[in-house]
Amino acid sequence: MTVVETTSLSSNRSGPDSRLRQWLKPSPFWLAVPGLLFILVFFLAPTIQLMSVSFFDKAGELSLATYSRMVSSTVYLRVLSTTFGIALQVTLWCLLLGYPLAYWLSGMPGRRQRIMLMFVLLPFWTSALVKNFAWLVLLGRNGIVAAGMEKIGLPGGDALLFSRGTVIFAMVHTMLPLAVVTMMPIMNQIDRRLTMAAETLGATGAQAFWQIFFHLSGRGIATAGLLVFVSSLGFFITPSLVGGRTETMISQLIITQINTLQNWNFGSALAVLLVLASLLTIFVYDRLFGLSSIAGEGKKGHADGKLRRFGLFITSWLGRICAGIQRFSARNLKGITGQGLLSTYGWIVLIVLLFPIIGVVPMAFTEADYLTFPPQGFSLRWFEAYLSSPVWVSATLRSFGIGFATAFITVIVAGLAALGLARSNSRFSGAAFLLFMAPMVVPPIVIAISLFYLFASLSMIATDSAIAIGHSVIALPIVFVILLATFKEHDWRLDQAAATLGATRLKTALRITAPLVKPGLIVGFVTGFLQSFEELTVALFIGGGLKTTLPKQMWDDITLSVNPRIAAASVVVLLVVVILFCAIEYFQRPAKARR
Amino acid sequence: MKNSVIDLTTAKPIGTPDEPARLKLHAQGLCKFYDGFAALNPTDLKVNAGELLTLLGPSGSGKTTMLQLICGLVKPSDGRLYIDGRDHTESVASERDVGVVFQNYALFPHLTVYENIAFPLEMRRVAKSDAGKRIAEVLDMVGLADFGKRFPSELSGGQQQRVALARCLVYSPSLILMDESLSALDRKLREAMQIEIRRIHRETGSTIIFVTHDQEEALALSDRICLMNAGRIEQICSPQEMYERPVSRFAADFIGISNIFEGTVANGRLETSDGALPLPTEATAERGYLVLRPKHIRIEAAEGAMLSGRLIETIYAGPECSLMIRLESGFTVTARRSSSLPHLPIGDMVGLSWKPEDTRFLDR
Repeated sequence: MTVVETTSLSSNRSGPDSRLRQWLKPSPFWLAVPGLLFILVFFLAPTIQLMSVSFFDKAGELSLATYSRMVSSTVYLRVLSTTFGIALQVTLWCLLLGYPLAYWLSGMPGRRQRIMLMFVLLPFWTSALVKNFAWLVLLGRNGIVAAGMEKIGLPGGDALLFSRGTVIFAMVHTMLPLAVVTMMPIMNQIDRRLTMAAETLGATGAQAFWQIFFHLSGRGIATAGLLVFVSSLGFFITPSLVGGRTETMISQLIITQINTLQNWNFGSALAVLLVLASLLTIFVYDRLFGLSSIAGEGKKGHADGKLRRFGLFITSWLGRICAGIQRFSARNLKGITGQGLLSTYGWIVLIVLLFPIIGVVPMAFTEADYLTFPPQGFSLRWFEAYLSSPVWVSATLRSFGIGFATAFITVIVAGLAALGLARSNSRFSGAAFLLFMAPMVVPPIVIAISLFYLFASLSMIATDSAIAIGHSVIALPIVFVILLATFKEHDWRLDQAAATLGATRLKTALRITAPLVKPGLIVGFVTGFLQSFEELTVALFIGGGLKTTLPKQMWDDITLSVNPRIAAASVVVLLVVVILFCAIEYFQRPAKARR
Repeated sequence: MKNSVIDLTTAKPIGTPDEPARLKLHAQGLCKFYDGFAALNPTDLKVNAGELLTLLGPSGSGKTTMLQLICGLVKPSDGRLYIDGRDHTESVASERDVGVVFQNYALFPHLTVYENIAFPLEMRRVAKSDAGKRIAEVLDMVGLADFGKRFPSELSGGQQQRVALARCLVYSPSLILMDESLSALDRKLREAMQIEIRRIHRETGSTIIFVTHDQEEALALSDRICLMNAGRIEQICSPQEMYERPVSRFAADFIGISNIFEGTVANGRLETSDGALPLPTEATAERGYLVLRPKHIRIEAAEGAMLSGRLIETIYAGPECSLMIRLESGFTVTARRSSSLPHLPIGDMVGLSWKPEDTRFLDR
């Protein structure tokens, strides 16, 4: 409050002219302006425009007819409840399965942890298409899992696909890495000496874990839950590929309404529902934990807060119950250590995570005309088929081009914004942060359709630049978060030191700042590229069926004619992801080890 | 009456005639190896009940390993550990009735000051009403009575330190371990806390093992100092004895300021690069060190003195000055002199003399 008062005081004294000057004076915050404009033009305005369509009838009059029609039809309500049900189950499974994995990883020493994290992230960054198509083959009627189940006498191996369970399994498989990478850094921050201290104070291992470690990791669980839930709401690739008729999710419905039925009002109304659902989730999260905790600043809990009391009560009981189990197992199950169980679990989950993407590789080298696992014979014919197809090659090259363009746009736009926000203490910083994060909240399908609307009016449909802009909007939040963390972690006193040692601003930037933030910039660049490289939704709409990217081509192939060429293409995608991962690892290593 | 830490009347004096000093802690051949590296070589250590012992040593000397072995956070590679005569080698930390005040305090950030202090009582299933009374008492004792509802992040370093101490005292552990607990505090606060610790030690009669790398702190606090070096005990004795009769070059160098001459023994003298120096006693070793404390050196005219050198620096420190004198060999000797004596100009040649019986000859 005092800040506001002093500014108004000083401006009263020296007139409105100086107030304007104060507003325009050079401040790091101005660096965020290009990014804010980008968000405004390519995200906020088109999304609002799309959503407003639902509030008008065919004649252009303001009306809620679309919504009343939607509420009166059980079909839509069913799809809505399916969407929420699936998203909720996926979230719970991700947290349940992901927590022990994240805990296991956070107990590892630095370098080993980074390498293991690569294995977790590899399936995350491998296009959902590759994984889902692998599931189609692996879980199919004649797949390896069905064969294995038959061998050990388990029934149901022939009906693994096209059910609610499959959709949830495949979505958990996709989202689990996100949950892990959200929870792990928060676990890393927890001082493990605290649990040691608890033990010296009389707590058993289980009590120390639940009452101290688990409680402190709560923020990570909540954030992971939020991200997984919001992302799950917008899924459409997984349910449409491995799900059955009853697993239709809201995004699929939007595509049908707009692509097939050309019913923009209805599609728009569904988009409004989807966005509202996301916003509601975020609102609840904000009430409980405070939004700023995503940016790493925990909400200051009040000593008598109800939520805090409740949390302490729950963890204290969990601690007591598990202490009992611990005593029981220590007496009766000698030789089984918690650490042993944990690493066994960790490895099993890792293997399941990597299963589809490793499974794809041998499929690509098959001799047969159809996809099988295990593959028959060994040949490179499907790689030849891939390389000799002008459609596939041009799609691949386009994906590379658009990927690089996206990476450049996002690193520059998000980099300037992150630098501005990290260096300024403007009161608009909080709002700007939320704006940059907003595209993460709105499902990609809504962004894609909004942009289709915008680019159609600019006659930019089916241009590479339109796709690159669309990808940039989607990649912006994550690149922004990475770069913001980079600039916040950078020790700016080093720049001051350089200045006192006689370096000019430019020299300081080149000799001190740039080398120190370079790893972060490279990770941001690679992330931007990967986001674009595996993105399907935007390419599906804005490509207009003419400019196909690699994921779009794969999508067409899966939905039209499945043959091993898509496995060959998947291997290429995998190779790119692996190479980029190695590059990240190389640049993240301490400078000494690199020489 | 085990839990009556704060009740002064029940604290028994230690080692009364009818009850000789009990052994609180006994380590037998306790050792810890990490991948072949000896963090602690096989070590024997006996600590009497009611004693305040410091584990003193440079970083990597094994003092923290020793502490972790005692409180059960690390499993020993070999050896046995007895607390109150009971074998505790295999028991986990929570079964040892040991209190630890950690270097970084290890206050639980999600719990308030009150809840932090209540934690050990909760773990021991102490009734709420009883617990409340005891927490109020310890909070009062460390002067934080009004801070119960604060979170640790809302306290200063010194206040956090006191909360950590209170959390340890509230359940009256009979053995308290302190791991560099004062090192993060500024000098004034550290000295105040040292007095506090001595007072609590006296009033509660608890056994305290205090880990530090600060020799002044060790001298100020301890009943006995256990000096550690390279994973083994170098010397264990009272502070005064440690200062006056160090057993090794390392001990002499680590405690206080020493001038240490190295040389070979010949004809009852030590042949050094600065000449032959008289030995205090008959020496049997061939090589050794002569330790000379600054306070024993007399500054006089260069002629006729035992050693002479050029004064290169004087450092004023209130009642006394430290003088740095460079000998011909390049070796710099530190001497001490009253500040009231006339000032000596830097660059002058001065002479050094001492009584041979004030020096100490060490063969290692």
